[in-house]
Amino acid sequence: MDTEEQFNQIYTLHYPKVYRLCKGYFNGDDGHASDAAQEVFVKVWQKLDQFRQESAIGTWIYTITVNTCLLQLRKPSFKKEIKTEQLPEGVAENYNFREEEQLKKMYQCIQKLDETGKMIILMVLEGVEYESIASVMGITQDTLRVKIHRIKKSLSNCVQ
Amino acid sequence: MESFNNMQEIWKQQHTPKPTIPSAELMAAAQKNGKKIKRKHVSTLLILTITVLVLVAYFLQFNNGKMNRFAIGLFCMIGSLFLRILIEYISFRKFQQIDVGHSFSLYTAKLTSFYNIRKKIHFVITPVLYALYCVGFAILLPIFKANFSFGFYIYLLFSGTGFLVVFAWFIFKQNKKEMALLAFLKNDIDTHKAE
Repeated sequence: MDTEEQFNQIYTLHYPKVYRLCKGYFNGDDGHASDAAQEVFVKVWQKLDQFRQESAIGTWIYTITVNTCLLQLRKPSFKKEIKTEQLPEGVAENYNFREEEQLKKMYQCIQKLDETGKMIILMVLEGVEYESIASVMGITQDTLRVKIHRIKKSLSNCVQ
Repeated sequence: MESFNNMQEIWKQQHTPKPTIPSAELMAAAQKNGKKIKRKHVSTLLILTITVLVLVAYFLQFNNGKMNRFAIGLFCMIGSLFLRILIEYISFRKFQQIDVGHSFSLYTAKLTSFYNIRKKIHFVITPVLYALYCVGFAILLPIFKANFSFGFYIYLLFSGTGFLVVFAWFIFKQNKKEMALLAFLKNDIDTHKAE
């Protein structure tokens, strides 16, 4: 498989997860999420030949995503104060009003976490394995478990 | 944790738009961006080389290697600008070298270290270079007054001062932005360590 074909597959497969993670990080802001997701894949393309396969490609992409989202703060166009009322447009059709409200609340509660907590819980919500999250964050799995337990509790309390 | 599992379900069900840019376009944009960065590197190096060559040529050709007031003033002004551009260029290269594929903790640690160096640049080196530029300008002013028409002297005085003010404002803005980011990074890493 040539590099372009490989990238094509990676892009199609991982875009939704990367997009949702960025959207969660930027409080449901579609514009910032879309810009950050594009930037992530530009970096993936530029560094694909340097990927050493020490970890799964998904873990590597999550690492780039987390670091890229953090770096969006460097950009002059970035406004840290994203409206809290702004909310996920276009929820799936089978969504009911209660779920939509809960999703809104989740976005707001995620923003209350510190940066590390935000990144961790967004990956947990995506169903990323703990081993991968620990590798992305550069912490041990034991530390991660403690953090996740605390964040889950805090998030559940906030959302309810 | 039942409520959390429920949240996870809701999270995964939310609508996710398809990529707005096709992968081929993204690859082309990445390549274009890579070329743009290379061009920027080459042009910066070119400007720095030309500045040094012009200065050395002037010094040897017109001043016979003698350090008079004019040469000192000129060297102070151009030299401080040269050093400032060189520092920015090195900083840019260093920033580019920070691998975005590092783990979050290592990446933030490297970023913090980078912005700590930038802090030293902003608070120590830049004021010295700025003062050097001002000294050079002040040395040259009497020479300008003696050798140019009054109108042109006034023009040089005001444009030079204007440049100093704009330059200071630009440095201040850049400094403020970078220090805010450094504070954010330090806060984040401290949280990380504490837990």
